[in-house]
Amino acid sequence: MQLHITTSDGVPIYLQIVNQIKYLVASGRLKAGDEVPPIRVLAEQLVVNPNTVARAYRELELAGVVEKRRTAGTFISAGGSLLAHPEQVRILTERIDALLTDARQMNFSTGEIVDLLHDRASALNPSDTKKETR
Amino acid sequence: MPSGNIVRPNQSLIQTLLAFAYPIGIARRRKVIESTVALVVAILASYGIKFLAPGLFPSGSPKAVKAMVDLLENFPAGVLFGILYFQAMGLGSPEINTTDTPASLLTQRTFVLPVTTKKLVLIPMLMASLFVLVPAILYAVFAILPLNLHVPVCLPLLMLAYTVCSSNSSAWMMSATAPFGCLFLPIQLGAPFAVLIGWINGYSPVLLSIGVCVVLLVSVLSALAAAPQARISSRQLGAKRATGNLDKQKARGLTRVMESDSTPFPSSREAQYWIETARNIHVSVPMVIGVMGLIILVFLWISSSDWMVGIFGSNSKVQATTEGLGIGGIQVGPHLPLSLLVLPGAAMFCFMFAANSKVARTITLGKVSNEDSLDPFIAIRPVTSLQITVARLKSAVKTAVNLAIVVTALLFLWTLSPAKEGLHRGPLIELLSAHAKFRTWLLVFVVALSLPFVLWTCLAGEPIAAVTGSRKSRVGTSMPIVIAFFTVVPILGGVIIASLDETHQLELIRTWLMFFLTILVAIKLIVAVVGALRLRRKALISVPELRTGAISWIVALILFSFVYECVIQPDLAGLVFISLIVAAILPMNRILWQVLRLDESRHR
Amino acid sequence: MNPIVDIQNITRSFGAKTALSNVTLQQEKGTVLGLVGENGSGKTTLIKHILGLFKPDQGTVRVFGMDPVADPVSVLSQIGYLSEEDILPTWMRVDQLQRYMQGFYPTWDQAYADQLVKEFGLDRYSKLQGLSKGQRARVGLMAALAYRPELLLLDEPSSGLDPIVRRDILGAIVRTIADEGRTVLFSSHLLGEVDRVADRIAMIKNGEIIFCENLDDLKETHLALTVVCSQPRPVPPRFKGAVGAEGSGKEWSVVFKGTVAEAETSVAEIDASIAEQRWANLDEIFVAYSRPTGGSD
Repeated sequence: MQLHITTSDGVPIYLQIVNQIKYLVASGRLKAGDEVPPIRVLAEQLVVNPNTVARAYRELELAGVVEKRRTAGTFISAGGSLLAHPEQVRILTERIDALLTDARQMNFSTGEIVDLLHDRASALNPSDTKKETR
Repeated sequence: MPSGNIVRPNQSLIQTLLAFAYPIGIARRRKVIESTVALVVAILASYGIKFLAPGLFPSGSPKAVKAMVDLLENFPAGVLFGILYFQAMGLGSPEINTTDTPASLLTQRTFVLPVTTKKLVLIPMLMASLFVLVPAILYAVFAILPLNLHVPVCLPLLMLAYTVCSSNSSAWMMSATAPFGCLFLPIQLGAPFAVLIGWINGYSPVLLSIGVCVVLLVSVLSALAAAPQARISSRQLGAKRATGNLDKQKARGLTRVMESDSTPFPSSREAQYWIETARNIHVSVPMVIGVMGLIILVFLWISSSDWMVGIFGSNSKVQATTEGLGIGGIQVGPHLPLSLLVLPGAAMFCFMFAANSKVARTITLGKVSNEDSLDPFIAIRPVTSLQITVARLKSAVKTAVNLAIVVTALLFLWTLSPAKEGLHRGPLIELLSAHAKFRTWLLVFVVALSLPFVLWTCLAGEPIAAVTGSRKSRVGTSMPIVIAFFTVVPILGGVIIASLDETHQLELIRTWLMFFLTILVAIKLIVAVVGALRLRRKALISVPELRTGAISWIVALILFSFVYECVIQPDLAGLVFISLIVAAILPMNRILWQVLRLDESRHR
Repeated sequence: MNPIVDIQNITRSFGAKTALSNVTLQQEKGTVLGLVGENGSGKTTLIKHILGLFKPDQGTVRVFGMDPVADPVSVLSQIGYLSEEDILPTWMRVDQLQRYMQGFYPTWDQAYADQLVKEFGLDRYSKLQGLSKGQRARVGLMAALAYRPELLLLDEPSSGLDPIVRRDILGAIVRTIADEGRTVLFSSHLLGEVDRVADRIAMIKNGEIIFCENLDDLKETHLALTVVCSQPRPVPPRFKGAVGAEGSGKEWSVVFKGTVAEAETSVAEIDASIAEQRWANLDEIFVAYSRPTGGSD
């Protein structure tokens, strides 16, 4: 599981972890029953405060994305993918908002953007998602 | 004028030159200037007195006058050494930069000259007065009053004043100067003693001077050996600063946020010293001194050969003075071994001062010499200030004991050397081999032990500062008072003694010494009590610790007195006992006050 | 639970200069507190108060519930300290240093110390003097960690070090917290580091604590706004909630404390509109509080 933490925008780190894990679940790269790394391991890997990771996991647990199994660790919950749909919509909405803001500043009309979207969609394979996480 | 014993101008000159040649190129130029002024004053005064003396006192001089003239004759050299000593210890320059060591001066030749009139005139005058006027007044007293005092009576008084003054100011030295300066100075401390004692007792001053020269040479050589390293270190220091600045700039540019707060620890800016290679000060100090002592010993053996005697002449005055210096049962007739004691003692000083280096500071948990400063590494360790002080003391005790063993062994070797007729070694060998062998060796050991130790313990100008309790009053303000105390009191005592007739003099000297020491004991005890109370108030010492300390101190004292009772003539035991209390109280006070000071500096 | 570090209203001045003024700071067990502030703002002074190296003129300092000045042994035996200053005895070798440290700390864990030496790629038999600055910092870190102190105090630990050493230090902080729930207080000028590892962040300015907040809360309550005014303004626009502003003419970027709704009403009051809004990052917050008046002179 590869997460990318950045401190250049103002998004709290726990939220970055939450969002990215949700994203990974939503995009299908994490499946129900997959184990997420223990808090300590992830904290050392990302060089972030373990308390932050713990908070992220708590949030994810509350949202039903992951579930803790006693002694065994933390896993993506079975309901995670189902619950992911509103999340998917939310993520996409955010991105479209950002896209529209940029487009408006560059005097692109909505129609032009839709055209551009179609162009890109045919140019790219639908599986590629990585770039967008930035 | 009692011509037989006086005026050996060429020898005085040799000594003077020897002493004067030494600081050039090592000390700061300002110090050289100051020394020169002081030297001129001293020599003029000294010789003036000598030329005036015959006129004042034409014929039939009592022995005392002879002795004083004899003593004064030796003073230019002693004065000079003293001046250099004071000069180098930074009496006139408390602003001395710690990186500005004689070693760096040796190599870099960069002199800073912030000379002020005050420093240029007043301080040399002070030196001159201290070292010339005091004996001059004494001389006048002896010259005017019809008395008959031995040199040995006056000499201890002078030496007492000298030691106390110099040991007090050495506290200043420790705080002000860098270790390398300290490396040379203690030798100067010992040198005048050695020359004075040796010369007064008729030993060839040339030989003594050469002996001193050897030691000085060793110290200079070691400084030279260390100089490149010191230079490298200071360069590194500069480089470090430069990169530090660069980092600052980078940080500024990148994040618009500044780097660290700029209140560093009282970091050690001193360069690295050669003593760094010596891991264990307890071993290295006695070892090096042992080597130095051996060099001197060999030199003395050679010097006692017939052809050397032929060149330098034998010691005609030996017979006259050997009886005098003995106190009670201690008959240390030949005084060269005594000077031998002084030299290594002084040399030990240099190591103690060199102990400013990081190694020694770590081993002893802080600067041995400067109780006020604490290594930042130690300051944040879970040890109490009391523990640190005790650890330092332990280290000093270890060093002193090892040193005493080495010195005693050296003296033993000395006695094994073949005795030559007419040479000074005779009496000691006789004494040691004939009667009271054990006693004598015990005393030799105790003397060897006490010398460095007592010197070490009376380093700080404690009494006055302790009573006033002010950190600032430490050396600066207390020094004149201490000097006054230790010069005026002996002079007054001398006058009183001198005014009495001969038969009562010895008795009176004893009483007076008793009185003097009792005052000292009283002061020291008050200081100790004040210190203990403060420690208690600051919760630095627990009640049981306090109790245990007091009891063990008293027990040790009783034990010591018992030993001395067995060793020393009964009628002198009281005096020795009181002296012992003084000697014992010094380290006690030192511990008490050092703990307080350390704690103050640790939690600022 | 009692806080590990409890500083109440301390004031300290050096001569005429006030280094700390009425500082109150508390830190709970198991948290990482990042202390930020400009050069000379009093970070080191504050840390030295925790170590007991300085005594406050007023107020109290309690570490583990004890006074570090009155009881240095109990306090210091549980504190690991690493500073920008190089205070290690440089004439020692690494193994000698380990033995030396053992004497001070009964809790010294030699196995852990050896493990750290290995991880940091240090040679046990090399003299500290010959080591690079980064290596020496690692040795310092080893010496500060190996007795498993309850509180790790780091004063500008990564100042002037390369990124790899910095990462080692950060990793050590993370591990310290993760291992046994110990506590870390560190000062740094690298806000990225603070951002990553701190739970709470305290900003100190001119000897005063500007804020001491949960890091996430801080970020979530501060917005970076691009405000477009109707008229060009010679000075930064001031409105309720604005912490600091930069820019010129009509367009200003403003760091705003509060919610989006609050921002909208506040901005509307000064006859301006929000062109863009997002969460403010730590750099922006820091700069805004450092220069609250804003604007480029």
